[in-house]
Order: sequence, then structure tokens, then C-alpha cells
Amino acid sequence: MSDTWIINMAFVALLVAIGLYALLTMKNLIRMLIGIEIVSKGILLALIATGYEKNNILTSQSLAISFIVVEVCVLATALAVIINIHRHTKTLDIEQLTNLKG
Amino acid sequence: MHIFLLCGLVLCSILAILATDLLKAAISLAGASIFLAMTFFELGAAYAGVFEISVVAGLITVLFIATISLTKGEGEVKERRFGRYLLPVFVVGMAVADFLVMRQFLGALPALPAAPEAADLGTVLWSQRTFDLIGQIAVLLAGVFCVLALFRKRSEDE
Amino acid sequence: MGIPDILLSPPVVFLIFLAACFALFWSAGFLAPKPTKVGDKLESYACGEDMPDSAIQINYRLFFHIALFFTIMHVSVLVVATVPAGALALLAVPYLLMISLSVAALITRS
Repeated sequence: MSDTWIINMAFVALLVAIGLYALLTMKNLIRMLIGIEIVSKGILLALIATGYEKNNILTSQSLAISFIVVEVCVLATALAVIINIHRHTKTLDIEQLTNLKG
Repeated sequence: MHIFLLCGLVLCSILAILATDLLKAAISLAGASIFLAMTFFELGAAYAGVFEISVVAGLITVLFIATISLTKGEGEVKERRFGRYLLPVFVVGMAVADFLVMRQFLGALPALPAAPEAADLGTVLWSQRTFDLIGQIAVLLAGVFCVLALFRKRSEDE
Repeated sequence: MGIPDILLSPPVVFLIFLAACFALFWSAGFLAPKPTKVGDKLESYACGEDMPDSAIQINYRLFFHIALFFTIMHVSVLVVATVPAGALALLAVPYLLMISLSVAALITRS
């Protein structure tokens, strides 16, 4: 267990904490998506740092590439959903999206 | 050098969370992914760095900015007042929990099988992880059909 | 690692050029005359007529189709660029077939 890996993993934990905080407290839908992006950055850093530590950077790089492709698709779809929500309700506030509440 | 890049990454992420302007938030997110890509170059993962810069810092930022400009105007969202003061408390709490818990997990990780000698990224991606490519195609098709269903053509009378 | 090596490593060069670009930008803004925001300069020009201020409704139905088309092309080009030489290169053919299927669905159904 090298020091570089410990430092990288500490920063991974910081990034995941920041992203989770955004997901928990923000009310704007686009801000919550930014939180998801930050969490995914932390996970990418964890993948590459572990590959570097375990001397197998190639496998972790190919995993990271697949991860980025999935991330782009998720982002495009989520932004399309957000545009549709804005078109129907004229707001991006998650507390206004309560028309299914019983 | 490495630690400066990581600090820049975390600073840009915090800016992206705390910026009041959504446009500034999107641009600092792009800055964070540029720092992440430089970290990848530093760790020897050049192709992942190229992917990160050209896809995440370029394409996703364009999508974000287009969405922000399409949804601008009516319906401004007021964030909660305690939103920006609780961040340090939360981050410190997570850091302490991480320090207490994660060390044992990191020590227990098994070694990966070593990469074959003189292999390059293409060989590893296309021979060992072929199934991931099927997953990529599935996700791309799902995204296409989702966008087609969300923005389908309206009937004539609407 | 000497000072020249540090100064010529790619991240540092990137940061130096970023700083240089911003310095150029700010110095040009310092040299340029200040804009005077008075009168007709703030109007949106429409053949000398006053435009109503109502927001223009943009038709953005096709925007996401084009954005997703661009995304798929970008990603698939970057993935296919890693294809190794030899017999493994044939694996790229079904990949590209499926990508072209999704692009065809995007174009014909939009």
C-alpha cells in the first residue's frame, strides 16, 4: 500500500462527499446533475489510481473508457428529461414536482 | 505536482457546487475534468485522459450550457439558506468516517492479474473486455430510444 | 528533475499558456475604449423598428437529436481508434454495425 494510493483515495472520498452533499441539499435539478458528475469523477479517479497501484493501468483504462461512455449517455438522457420537465411545469425546483403526491 | 492537480480538482468541484450562476458552475465543472485528465496523464493513463478531456470537458459542458440556456428565464430556483454553510461540516464528517473505515478495505484488496507483456490498450480492451463493448452499445441504443421517445413528433393538430 | 523539465511538462505548459491567454485578454480589455451603454446601443436591431421584448419561442425539438448524434459519433470514433491490428480488428465491424443501427434509428425516426 503506497502513499500515492492513500492520497488518491482520500481525494476520491472528498469528491464523493462533495457530490453527495450537492445531491442531498440542492433543489435545482441541474445542480443535482452536477453533483452526480462530481461523484462520477471521484469514481474515475479511484479506478485509475487503483490500476496504477496494482500495476495494471491498461485494464483500469479500458474500464474507465466504458464508464465515460455510459456517463455521457446518462447525462444526455437526463438533460432531455430536464428539458421536458421544464417545458411542462415551467420550473426546475424539485419541490414543485409534486403533482403525483396522493 | 500530483497533489496540486488533485487540490485543483477538488477546488473546481467545490466552486461548481457553490457558484450562484449555473453557467459558472458548468464551466468550473469543465475545469475540474481538465484537472482530472491531467492527473490521468500524470498516472500514465494517457488514453483515459484524452477521453476525459474531449468527451467530459468538451461534450458534456456543451450539453450542460445548451440545457441551461434553454431552461433559463421563468422559474428561478432559490436554494436553501443553510445550503452553503453546511458543506465543510459534511465534508469533514465524511473524511473522518473515511479515515476510520477505508484503511482496512484498501489493505484487503487482492492484486489484479498482471497485464500481458508488451500489450497495448487496444488489445486489452478488445480481447479481454469484449463484453464491455456490448454494454456500451446497449447503453447507446437505450439513450437513442429514450431521446426519441421524449422528443417524439407531435400530431398535426397540436 | 530540474527546473526546465518541470517547466516543460505538459500540465505546467498548459497552465502557463492559460495564464498567458488570460493576460492577453485582460490587457486587451484594458487598452480598448470603454463601451458607452446609452440609447440605441442597447436596442436589439431590427431594421430600425422597435422589437417587442417578448421572449422568442425557440423550436428545440430537434436539438437533442443532433446533440445525441454528435455524442454517438464522437464516442464511437474514440473507441474504434483503439482497435489493435490483426485478427482482433474484425471485432470492430459488429460494433460499427450496431452504432450505425442506432444512428439510422435516430435519423429516420426524428
